[in-house]
Amino acid sequence: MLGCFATYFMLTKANLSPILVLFLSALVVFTIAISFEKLVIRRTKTDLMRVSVATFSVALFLEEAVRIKWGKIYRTIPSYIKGTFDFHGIVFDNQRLVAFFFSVLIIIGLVLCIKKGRFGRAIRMVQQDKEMASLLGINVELVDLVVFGVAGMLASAAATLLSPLYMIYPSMGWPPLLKSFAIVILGGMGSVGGTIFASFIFGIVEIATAFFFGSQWAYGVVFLIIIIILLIRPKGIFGKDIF
Amino acid sequence: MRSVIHKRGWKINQFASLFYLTLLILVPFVVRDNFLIHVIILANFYAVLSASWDICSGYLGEVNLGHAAFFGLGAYTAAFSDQWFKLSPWLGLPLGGGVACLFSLAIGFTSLTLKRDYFVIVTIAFSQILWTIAITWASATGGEEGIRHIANFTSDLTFNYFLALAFMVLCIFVLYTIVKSRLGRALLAIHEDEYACKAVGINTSFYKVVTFAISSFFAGLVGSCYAYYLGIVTPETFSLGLTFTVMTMTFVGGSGTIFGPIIGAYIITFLAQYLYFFKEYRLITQTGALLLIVVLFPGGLIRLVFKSAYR
Repeated sequence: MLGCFATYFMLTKANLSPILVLFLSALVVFTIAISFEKLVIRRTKTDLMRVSVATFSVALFLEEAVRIKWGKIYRTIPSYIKGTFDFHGIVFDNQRLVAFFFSVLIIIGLVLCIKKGRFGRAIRMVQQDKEMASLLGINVELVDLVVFGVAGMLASAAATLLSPLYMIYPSMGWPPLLKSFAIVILGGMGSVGGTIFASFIFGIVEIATAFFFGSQWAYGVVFLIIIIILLIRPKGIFGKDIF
Repeated sequence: MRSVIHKRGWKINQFASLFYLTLLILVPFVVRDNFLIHVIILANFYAVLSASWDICSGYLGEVNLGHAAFFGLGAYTAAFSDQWFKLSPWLGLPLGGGVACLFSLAIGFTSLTLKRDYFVIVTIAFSQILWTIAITWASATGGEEGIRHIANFTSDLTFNYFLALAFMVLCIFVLYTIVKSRLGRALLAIHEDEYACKAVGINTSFYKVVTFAISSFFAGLVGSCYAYYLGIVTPETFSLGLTFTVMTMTFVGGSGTIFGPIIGAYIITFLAQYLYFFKEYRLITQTGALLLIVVLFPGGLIRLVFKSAYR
């Protein structure tokens, strides 16, 4: 939501180029996410209940702040690239193609960072055993901070890429949140490949339901997927053991 | 931070609640202000709702971010049983609780046996989805307008007041007894260290599912009471805003204490109803306050006042 609004104001008020906006809004959200981690999460980390209550109240707080400041209006952004692309009779919207290629780039970069880079190894170490990691000289607090910031940055990049396709309004953050939950559960936590596979399945199922039964049931299907997956294979399709 | 109550603390508690109760019983005889009575009725409902959230989240430590869903399920069950089957409110009341309880069992069995994060995700998804369905499935639920003209228990305000008071006292009594029983001790132990509990042979999954079902049952009861009292249900009963109101009440009073949420519920309800001109900014101040409390004073008000009774 923040990413979308940052994109909106940079594009319409400042007339910057989309590529610049992608980086700038990611930077803005990165800063906000990092300060949020420092101020709130660091103090409540010991108790899962306090962390989740704090994070969700921040989400709602920001949403309300944006609503009060700029109103509940639905906004749109003109698409970055006009026109369509015809591939043997299948017509693609250029805007969607651009979003697709950028997201593939970002995912490849992310996977390389986590699997090969020094920092990625530190992240995986912290995820497996915090105490051991700090004993071995990894700055756990810094890793947590950067991971949180990068997560915010990726969300913002997705927002910039997708914002011409969707309406922009204060409570727009909830559907993507639920969808990403469902996808992570379906693909399994901690598996990037599983996540990609799951998002394809999920997208197809969602569009199919919307097409055959009407778009209001798409949400119900999200939930049904979550429940069924939790019942038959709680760790997700490619996930590791989570009990 | 857990609330283990000493012997002396129990006496303070007993005394305070009896004093408070007498005060509440006297209100309709002394005051002729209908709006005040209405606000106290609402506060009673919210008190039970927050206390039922507290038993699942404050005691057990499983964060239920979809408590509004069970409240709404109770409310809509009451509305449907009145509009479609013409059931009396006295039958619709336990029905509302029962329906909420059934749904919570389905959710509890699938998600409470896993890591704690999953439960948070599933409950929040559940409430958001019910909210969407309540809005979009307009032919049955009336859409944004909701369902109007539901039968009341009684149209007399004073009688309604005593009904709500009795309901609150009864529910709180049951919840308090549960918390003080063997089950309650198991919950605190699970909150402290789940693996240790498993190691000494406590069936943690069973206790979690049961507690969640109890918590949702009470939420459903309050929901149907609320529907019968106001005579209207709207999709707002499913909204995240309501869950956050309940959480704010619990944290203002002090989570994990049962009595704390009641105090919080009274404070927040009075503020919300009397500062109605402030309505636009209600949710933002609420979430801001919740954030500050959770980060800075996780103990809540009751631990500030009764320092000796609650640790």
